Amino acid sequence: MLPIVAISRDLPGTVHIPHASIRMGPKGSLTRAELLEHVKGAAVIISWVSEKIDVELLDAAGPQLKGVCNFAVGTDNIDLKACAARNITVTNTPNAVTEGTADLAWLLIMAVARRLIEADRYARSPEYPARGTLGPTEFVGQELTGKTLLIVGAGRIGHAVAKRSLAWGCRVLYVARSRHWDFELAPMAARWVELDEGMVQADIVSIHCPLTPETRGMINARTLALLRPSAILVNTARGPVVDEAALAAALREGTLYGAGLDV
Amino acid sequence: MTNVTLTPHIGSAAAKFRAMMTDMVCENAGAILGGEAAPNRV
Repeated sequence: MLPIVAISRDLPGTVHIPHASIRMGPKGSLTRAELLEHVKGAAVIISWVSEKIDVELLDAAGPQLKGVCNFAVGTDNIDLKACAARNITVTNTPNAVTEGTADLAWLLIMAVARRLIEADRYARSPEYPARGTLGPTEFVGQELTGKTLLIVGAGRIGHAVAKRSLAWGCRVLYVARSRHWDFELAPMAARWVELDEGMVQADIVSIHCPLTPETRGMINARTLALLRPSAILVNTARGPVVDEAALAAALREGTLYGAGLDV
Repeated sequence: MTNVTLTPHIGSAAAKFRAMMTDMVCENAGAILGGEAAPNRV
Protein backbone atom coordinates (compact mmCIF):
# COMPACT_ATOMS: atom_id res chain seq x y z
CA MET A 1 0.00 0.00 0.00
CA LEU A 2 1.32 3.42 -0.94
CA PRO A 3 1.93 5.90 1.86
CA ILE A 4 -0.78 8.53 2.19
CA VAL A 5 -0.12 12.24 1.68
CA ALA A 6 -3.05 14.13 3.21
CA ILE A 7 -3.40 17.60 1.69
CA SER A 8 -5.68 19.81 3.74
CA ARG A 9 -6.85 21.94 0.81
CA ASP A 10 -7.00 21.90 -2.93
CA LEU A 11 -3.65 23.26 -4.14
CA PRO A 12 -2.90 25.50 -7.14
CA GLY A 13 -0.74 24.16 -9.97
CA THR A 14 0.05 20.48 -10.32
CA VAL A 15 0.39 18.10 -7.40
CA HIS A 16 2.94 15.46 -8.25
CA ILE A 17 4.37 13.20 -5.55
CA PRO A 18 5.66 9.85 -6.83
CA HIS A 19 4.92 6.63 -4.95
CA ALA A 20 2.22 8.17 -2.80
CA SER A 21 -1.51 8.04 -2.50
CA ILE A 22 -2.81 11.60 -2.52
CA ARG A 23 -5.73 12.45 -0.30
CA MET A 24 -6.73 15.89 -1.59
CA GLY A 25 -8.75 18.25 0.55
CA PRO A 26 -11.60 20.45 -0.68
CA LYS A 27 -11.45 23.93 -2.23
CA GLY A 28 -12.79 25.39 1.00
CA SER A 29 -11.61 24.65 4.51
CA LEU A 30 -12.27 21.49 6.46
CA THR A 31 -13.76 21.83 9.92
CA ARG A 32 -11.40 20.83 12.70
CA ALA A 33 -13.24 17.51 13.13
CA GLU A 34 -13.05 16.84 9.39
CA LEU A 35 -9.36 17.72 9.35
CA LEU A 36 -8.62 15.29 12.21
CA GLU A 37 -10.39 12.59 10.18
CA HIS A 38 -8.67 13.67 6.93
CA VAL A 39 -5.12 13.22 8.31
CA LYS A 40 -5.77 9.77 9.80
CA GLY A 41 -3.16 7.30 8.61
CA ALA A 42 -1.15 9.90 6.68
CA ALA A 43 2.63 9.58 6.28
CA VAL A 44 2.86 13.25 5.30
CA ILE A 45 0.47 16.12 5.89
CA ILE A 46 0.48 19.18 3.64
CA SER A 47 -0.98 22.00 5.70
CA TRP A 48 -2.13 25.58 5.26
CA VAL A 49 -1.39 28.38 7.75
CA SER A 50 -4.85 28.43 9.29
CA GLU A 51 -4.61 24.79 10.34
CA LYS A 52 -3.26 24.19 13.78
CA ILE A 53 -0.83 21.29 13.72
CA ASP A 54 -0.77 20.42 17.41
CA VAL A 55 -0.49 17.32 19.56
CA GLU A 56 -4.16 16.49 19.04
CA LEU A 57 -3.73 16.52 15.27
CA LEU A 58 -0.47 14.54 15.38
CA ASP A 59 -2.26 11.94 17.54
CA ALA A 60 -5.18 11.87 15.10
CA ALA A 61 -2.78 11.23 12.20
CA GLY A 62 -1.11 8.32 13.95
CA PRO A 63 2.41 7.02 14.61
CA GLN A 64 3.24 6.51 10.89
CA LEU A 65 3.35 10.29 10.37
CA LYS A 66 6.81 11.31 9.12
CA GLY A 67 6.40 14.86 7.90
CA VAL A 68 4.39 18.05 7.90
CA CYS A 69 4.91 20.25 4.84
CA ASN A 70 3.52 23.71 5.44
CA PHE A 71 2.27 25.61 2.41
CA ALA A 72 3.79 28.86 3.77
CA VAL A 73 7.08 30.28 4.90
CA GLY A 74 5.92 30.86 8.49
CA THR A 75 5.40 27.84 10.71
CA ASP A 76 3.67 29.50 13.66
CA ASN A 77 0.64 27.22 13.12
CA ILE A 78 2.78 24.17 13.92
CA ASP A 79 3.88 22.87 17.31
CA LEU A 80 7.52 22.42 16.28
CA LYS A 81 8.57 20.97 19.63
CA ALA A 82 5.91 18.27 19.50
CA CYS A 83 6.97 17.41 15.93
CA ALA A 84 10.65 17.23 16.92
CA ALA A 85 9.82 15.00 19.89
CA ARG A 86 8.13 12.56 17.50
CA ASN A 87 10.85 12.81 14.87
CA ILE A 88 8.44 14.41 12.41
CA THR A 89 10.13 16.56 9.76
CA VAL A 90 8.60 20.01 9.24
CA THR A 91 9.17 21.93 6.02
CA ASN A 92 8.12 25.33 4.66
CA THR A 93 8.18 27.16 1.32
CA PRO A 94 10.80 29.89 1.47
CA ASN A 95 11.80 31.72 -1.74
CA ALA A 96 8.45 31.03 -3.42
CA VAL A 97 6.73 33.63 -1.24
CA THR A 98 9.54 36.19 -1.35
CA GLU A 99 8.83 38.25 -4.45
CA GLY A 100 5.06 38.17 -4.15
CA THR A 101 5.14 39.35 -0.55
CA ALA A 102 7.70 42.05 -1.34
CA ASP A 103 5.49 43.30 -4.18
CA LEU A 104 2.48 43.36 -1.90
CA ALA A 105 4.37 45.28 0.77
CA TRP A 106 5.14 47.99 -1.80
CA LEU A 107 1.57 47.89 -3.07
CA LEU A 108 0.41 48.69 0.47
CA ILE A 109 3.11 51.31 1.05
CA MET A 110 2.10 53.08 -2.16
CA ALA A 111 -1.61 52.69 -1.47
CA VAL A 112 -1.23 54.35 1.93
CA ALA A 113 1.24 57.00 0.75
CA ARG A 114 -0.98 58.08 -2.16
CA ARG A 115 -4.35 57.43 -0.47
CA LEU A 116 -5.36 54.93 -3.13
CA ILE A 117 -8.47 53.51 -1.45
CA GLU A 118 -9.80 56.95 -0.58
CA ALA A 119 -9.08 58.21 -4.09
CA ASP A 120 -10.77 55.19 -5.67
CA ARG A 121 -13.89 55.76 -3.58
CA TYR A 122 -13.95 59.41 -4.51
CA ALA A 123 -13.44 58.75 -8.22
CA ARG A 124 -16.43 56.38 -8.20
CA SER A 125 -18.69 58.77 -6.30
CA PRO A 126 -21.10 61.12 -8.08
CA GLU A 127 -19.22 63.98 -6.46
CA TYR A 128 -16.28 63.60 -8.83
CA PRO A 129 -18.07 64.16 -12.18
CA ALA A 130 -20.22 66.82 -10.53
CA ARG A 131 -17.22 68.82 -9.34
CA GLY A 132 -14.76 67.99 -12.07
CA THR A 133 -11.00 68.27 -11.79
CA LEU A 134 -9.56 68.45 -8.29
CA GLY A 135 -7.71 71.44 -7.00
CA PRO A 136 -3.96 71.39 -6.47
CA THR A 137 -4.23 70.91 -2.71
CA GLU A 138 -6.65 67.98 -2.79
CA PHE A 139 -5.69 64.33 -2.33
CA VAL A 140 -2.10 65.24 -1.70
CA GLY A 141 -0.31 62.23 -0.30
CA GLN A 142 3.34 61.42 0.18
CA GLU A 143 6.13 60.67 -2.24
CA LEU A 144 8.46 57.71 -1.78
CA THR A 145 11.55 59.36 -3.20
CA GLY A 146 14.37 59.62 -0.68
CA LYS A 147 12.39 58.26 2.25
CA THR A 148 13.94 56.30 5.08
CA LEU A 149 12.75 52.69 5.01
CA LEU A 150 12.98 50.53 8.12
CA ILE A 151 12.93 46.78 7.48
CA VAL A 152 12.03 44.79 10.60
CA GLY A 153 13.33 41.25 10.06
CA ALA A 154 16.24 40.88 7.63
CA GLY A 155 15.29 37.64 5.90
CA ARG A 156 14.64 37.02 2.23
CA ILE A 157 11.39 38.99 2.09
CA GLY A 158 12.86 41.95 3.96
CA HIS A 159 15.76 41.93 1.54
CA ALA A 160 13.47 41.88 -1.50
CA VAL A 161 11.47 44.81 -0.09
CA ALA A 162 14.66 46.78 0.58
CA LYS A 163 15.97 45.98 -2.91
CA ARG A 164 12.83 47.43 -4.49
CA SER A 165 13.28 50.64 -2.50
CA LEU A 166 16.43 51.43 -4.47
CA ALA A 167 14.15 52.51 -7.31
CA TRP A 168 13.03 55.45 -5.13
CA GLY A 169 16.44 56.17 -3.69
CA CYS A 170 15.35 55.22 -0.19
CA ARG A 171 17.75 55.10 2.73
CA VAL A 172 17.47 51.63 4.28
CA LEU A 173 17.69 50.76 7.98
CA TYR A 174 17.15 47.24 9.25
CA VAL A 175 16.38 45.55 12.53
CA ALA A 176 17.61 42.00 13.06
CA ARG A 177 19.17 39.90 15.81
CA SER A 178 22.48 39.87 13.96
CA ARG A 179 24.09 41.82 11.14
CA HIS A 180 23.29 40.96 7.54
CA TRP A 181 26.00 41.81 5.05
CA ASP A 182 23.65 41.46 2.10
CA PHE A 183 21.86 44.49 3.55
CA GLU A 184 24.98 46.45 4.34
CA LEU A 185 26.87 46.12 1.06
CA ALA A 186 26.17 48.18 -2.07
CA PRO A 187 23.80 48.98 -3.58
CA MET A 188 21.61 48.82 -0.47
CA ALA A 189 24.18 50.13 2.02
CA ALA A 190 21.66 49.64 4.82
CA ARG A 191 22.39 50.40 8.45
CA TRP A 192 21.73 47.93 11.30
CA VAL A 193 19.76 49.66 14.06
CA GLU A 194 17.92 48.88 17.26
CA LEU A 195 14.14 48.86 16.84
CA ASP A 196 13.69 52.06 18.87
CA GLU A 197 16.18 54.04 16.81
CA GLY A 198 14.68 52.72 13.59
CA MET A 199 11.16 53.69 14.65
CA VAL A 200 12.34 57.22 15.45
CA GLN A 201 14.04 57.66 12.07
CA ALA A 202 11.71 55.81 9.70
CA ASP A 203 9.33 57.28 7.16
CA ILE A 204 8.23 53.78 6.20
CA VAL A 205 8.28 50.69 8.44
CA SER A 206 7.82 47.30 6.79
CA ILE A 207 7.54 44.18 8.96
CA HIS A 208 9.06 40.91 7.77
CA CYS A 209 9.96 38.96 10.91
CA PRO A 210 8.44 35.62 11.85
CA LEU A 211 5.90 35.46 14.67
CA THR A 212 7.74 34.15 17.74
CA PRO A 213 7.35 34.77 21.49
CA GLU A 214 9.99 37.54 21.10
CA THR A 215 8.28 39.31 18.18
CA ARG A 216 4.69 39.03 19.43
CA GLY A 217 3.50 42.56 20.23
CA MET A 218 6.93 43.98 19.36
CA ILE A 219 5.18 46.89 17.66
CA ASN A 220 3.12 48.18 20.57
CA ALA A 221 1.94 51.46 22.11
CA ARG A 222 5.47 52.29 23.27
CA THR A 223 7.24 51.59 19.98
CA LEU A 224 4.45 53.17 17.88
CA ALA A 225 4.80 56.35 19.94
CA LEU A 226 8.36 56.68 18.60
CA LEU A 227 7.12 57.12 15.01
CA ARG A 228 6.90 60.49 13.33
CA PRO A 229 3.35 61.61 12.42
CA SER A 230 4.15 61.19 8.71
CA ALA A 231 5.24 57.55 9.09
CA ILE A 232 3.66 54.64 7.25
CA LEU A 233 3.56 51.17 8.81
CA VAL A 234 3.06 48.06 6.71
CA ASN A 235 2.70 44.51 7.99
CA THR A 236 2.71 41.65 5.49
CA ALA A 237 4.10 39.17 8.04
CA ARG A 238 1.90 37.99 10.91
CA GLY A 239 -0.77 40.10 12.59
CA PRO A 240 0.20 39.58 16.25
CA VAL A 241 3.65 41.13 15.69
CA VAL A 242 1.70 44.39 15.91
CA ASP A 243 -0.54 45.10 18.91
CA GLU A 244 -3.73 45.75 16.98
CA ALA A 245 -5.49 47.82 19.65
CA ALA A 246 -2.41 50.00 20.06
CA LEU A 247 -2.17 50.50 16.29
CA ALA A 248 -5.85 51.42 16.00
CA ALA A 249 -5.44 53.96 18.81
CA ALA A 250 -2.27 55.38 17.24
CA LEU A 251 -4.02 55.78 13.87
CA ARG A 252 -6.99 57.52 15.47
CA GLU A 253 -4.71 59.84 17.39
CA GLY A 254 -2.55 60.66 14.38
CA THR A 255 0.62 59.15 15.88
CA LEU A 256 1.37 57.92 12.36
CA TYR A 257 0.13 58.74 8.85
CA GLY A 258 -1.36 55.42 7.90
CA ALA A 259 -1.02 51.66 7.84
CA GLY A 260 -1.25 48.82 5.37
CA LEU A 261 -2.01 45.35 6.69
CA ASP A 262 -1.94 42.03 4.89
CA VAL A 263 -2.42 39.71 7.82
CA MET B 1 -10.52 54.64 8.96
CA THR B 2 -9.41 56.00 5.62
CA ASN B 3 -5.69 55.88 6.47
CA VAL B 4 -5.68 52.07 6.60
CA THR B 5 -5.45 49.74 3.62
CA LEU B 6 -6.29 46.11 4.25
CA THR B 7 -5.72 42.94 2.27
CA PRO B 8 -6.57 39.40 3.45
CA HIS B 9 -3.04 37.92 3.73
CA ILE B 10 -2.50 37.57 -0.02
CA GLY B 11 1.26 38.21 -0.07
CA SER B 12 2.10 35.06 -1.99
CA ALA B 13 -1.14 34.99 -3.97
CA ALA B 14 0.22 35.38 -7.50
CA ALA B 15 -0.26 32.47 -9.90
CA LYS B 16 3.39 31.67 -10.54
CA PHE B 17 4.42 31.86 -6.88
CA ARG B 18 1.50 29.78 -5.64
CA ALA B 19 2.32 27.09 -8.23
CA MET B 20 5.93 27.20 -7.05
CA MET B 21 4.74 26.66 -3.48
CA THR B 22 2.87 23.54 -4.62
CA ASP B 23 6.02 22.26 -6.35
CA MET B 24 8.00 22.90 -3.17
CA VAL B 25 5.61 21.09 -0.81
CA CYS B 26 5.49 18.17 -3.26
CA GLU B 27 9.29 18.03 -3.45
CA ASN B 28 9.55 18.10 0.34
CA ALA B 29 6.82 15.49 0.79
CA GLY B 30 8.52 13.26 -1.80
CA ALA B 31 11.88 13.56 -0.05
CA ILE B 32 10.38 12.70 3.35
CA LEU B 33 8.62 9.65 1.92
CA GLY B 34 11.82 8.56 0.16
CA GLY B 35 13.82 8.85 3.38
CA GLU B 36 15.95 11.66 1.94
CA ALA B 37 16.76 15.03 3.46
CA ALA B 38 13.87 17.44 2.83
CA PRO B 39 15.19 20.53 1.02
CA ASN B 40 13.19 23.00 3.10
CA ARG B 41 13.35 21.47 6.55
CA VAL B 42 12.80 24.15 9.23
